[in-house]
Amino acid sequence: MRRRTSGHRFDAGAVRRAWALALLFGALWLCLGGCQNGPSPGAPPKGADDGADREAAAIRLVDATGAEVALPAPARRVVTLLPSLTETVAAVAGVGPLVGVTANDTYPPEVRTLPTVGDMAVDPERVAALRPDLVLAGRFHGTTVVPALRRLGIPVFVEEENARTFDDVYRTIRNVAALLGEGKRGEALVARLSSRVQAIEKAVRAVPEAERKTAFVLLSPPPDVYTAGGDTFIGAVLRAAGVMNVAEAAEGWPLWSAEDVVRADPDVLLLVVGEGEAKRWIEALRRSPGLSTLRAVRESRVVTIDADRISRPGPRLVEALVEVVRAVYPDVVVPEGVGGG
Amino acid sequence: MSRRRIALGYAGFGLFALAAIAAGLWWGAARLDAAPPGTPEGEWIRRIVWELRAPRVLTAFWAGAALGLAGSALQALFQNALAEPYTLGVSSGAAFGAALFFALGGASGLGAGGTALAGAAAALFLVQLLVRLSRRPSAEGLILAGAAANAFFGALVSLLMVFAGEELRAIVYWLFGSVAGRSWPTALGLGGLVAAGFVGLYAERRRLDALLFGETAALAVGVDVVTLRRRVAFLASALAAGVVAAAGVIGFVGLVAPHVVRRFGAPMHRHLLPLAALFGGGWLVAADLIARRALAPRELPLGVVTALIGAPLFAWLLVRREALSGDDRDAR
Repeated sequence: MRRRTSGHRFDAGAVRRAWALALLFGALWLCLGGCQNGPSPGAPPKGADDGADREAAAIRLVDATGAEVALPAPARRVVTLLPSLTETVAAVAGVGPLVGVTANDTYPPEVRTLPTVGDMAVDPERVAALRPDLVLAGRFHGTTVVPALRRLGIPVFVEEENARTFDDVYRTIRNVAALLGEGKRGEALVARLSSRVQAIEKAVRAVPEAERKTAFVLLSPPPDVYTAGGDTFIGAVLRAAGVMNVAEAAEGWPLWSAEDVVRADPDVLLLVVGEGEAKRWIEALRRSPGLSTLRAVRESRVVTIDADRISRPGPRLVEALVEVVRAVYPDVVVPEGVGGG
Repeated sequence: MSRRRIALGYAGFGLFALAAIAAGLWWGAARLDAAPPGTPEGEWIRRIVWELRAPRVLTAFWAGAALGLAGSALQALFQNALAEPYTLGVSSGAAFGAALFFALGGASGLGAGGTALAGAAAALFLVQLLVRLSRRPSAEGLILAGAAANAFFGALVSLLMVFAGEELRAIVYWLFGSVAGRSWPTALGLGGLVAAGFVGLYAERRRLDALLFGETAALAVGVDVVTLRRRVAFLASALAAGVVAAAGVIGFVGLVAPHVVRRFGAPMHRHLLPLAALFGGGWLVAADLIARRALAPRELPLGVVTALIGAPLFAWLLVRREALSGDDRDAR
């Protein structure tokens, strides 16, 4: 191999040309930055519809990101990207309109046989290939999936996946029902759920102040201690159930200190577990050097709540509320829902 | 090295890149052969390919090309075959820059690109400083400095994620690297950046060659080493930051691409730069195809695929301590 480098001097013109190109480089950099779709959860995407659709649209709704979603007719081919939205569709219109779900979907059982479009990471191509006339997504998908589908002209309605209150759940039900042309059934469902929640809240209020229980929610098996803050839907369920949440003042889903749990020594420990995992979690609790000293553990006041029910802010959140009340206040008679809800 | 071998190199790496792009465009969730053009079904599939798959494949290609270029440049800059944006912590720095922007409520891609560049440059500066300050500069010392930068910026990103709350999952997935759902403006913008970065580095090709023989040798043939280092560091940072802003953190492509090209027998930057860009681009398109198809319908994070193949090579290089010029040991 020859070394051509030796003895070479470099003319200033070449350097200047290189720097002119570097300037161009900078300009293109700006273009790249300005046009690309980075993870910008707060960015309000533009509506996908164009003028003609706008005139003819029969259904028009503003989603959680502020984008207006217009449908010419009630949606008949729906892809849902969150289990809670799948459950909401099924509750207001059955599984009929669903043509695709994620691999995380388990309820109602029929959806397990539907085509899947990914799990947490969704492939927009796969969604588009199902030719949906509506995609229901969470804010989480707003970074790339939502804009990609809207580029193809597919209407995408973005819901807030982290409901904070029962009212948030009701709003989602109303929105989904409206998009499916099932407004009346949506209203009926909301009326049924809210009257049930109110009746339960009333029944729980009868519990004397001195007998009120404090509880700590455990979202992960020990030694990890993840819990639910007061501004989450699990926090809302506890409030409705008349249970004091040790982490009420916290926000979101924080990692909690086991020492703090021991100090608070709650009356009840609520384990949010998936199917068939309860045994393993309770064994881990008994082995945990800190948490095993809790009164709740020693006196077997550890309650397991079905994770699918309480961690999906859908219609079944009320069932989770009933579960919590029955477990924490066995003496309270849980009122049955109006109209068999 | 013969002209014939060089021609063979361009033909081989070019064909590899073209084949990867063709395969990337052909295979996907919607099958192009499922319906003929003209039918509504066929037209819809073609629209999916044009609007979703084509920009994705091109973004992967440009990102791989950028990493190949940045890897080649950083390896010359540090005279070390283990240097690349990921191992030196430059990608981590860029990721922290962009993540900080998003965590503070920023929404524009422009701002994120800018802060990613600032983060990448800061990480590279830190690594250079550490190398300079260490008493006995060595190949391993550089990698340790990179590990320090990686750990530091990685910790900062983790700290951000503790506070990011609901945006956490989006940041996590972005950090794993992905080109899913990228748009034409992203693909074309990144392409422009790569073209400009290539031209900028190519203008320095002879000086980069001189640098391979050590700073003293480069000074002896009249290279302004300080200016050269600054320029190359800027170009490599910008390329790495562009990749992070467009596709997240993707490791080891910048390591694999120049290495393969050098093994083929083209250690001089005149050929190393274009061939490493071609190979890096084709390689990332292939890696994305694996990410999409291996466990379909689930998608693997792109960074996981490249690391699974790149990390063992990194380990092997570390053990072998391969020479950069590549012509002295196994010219084959």
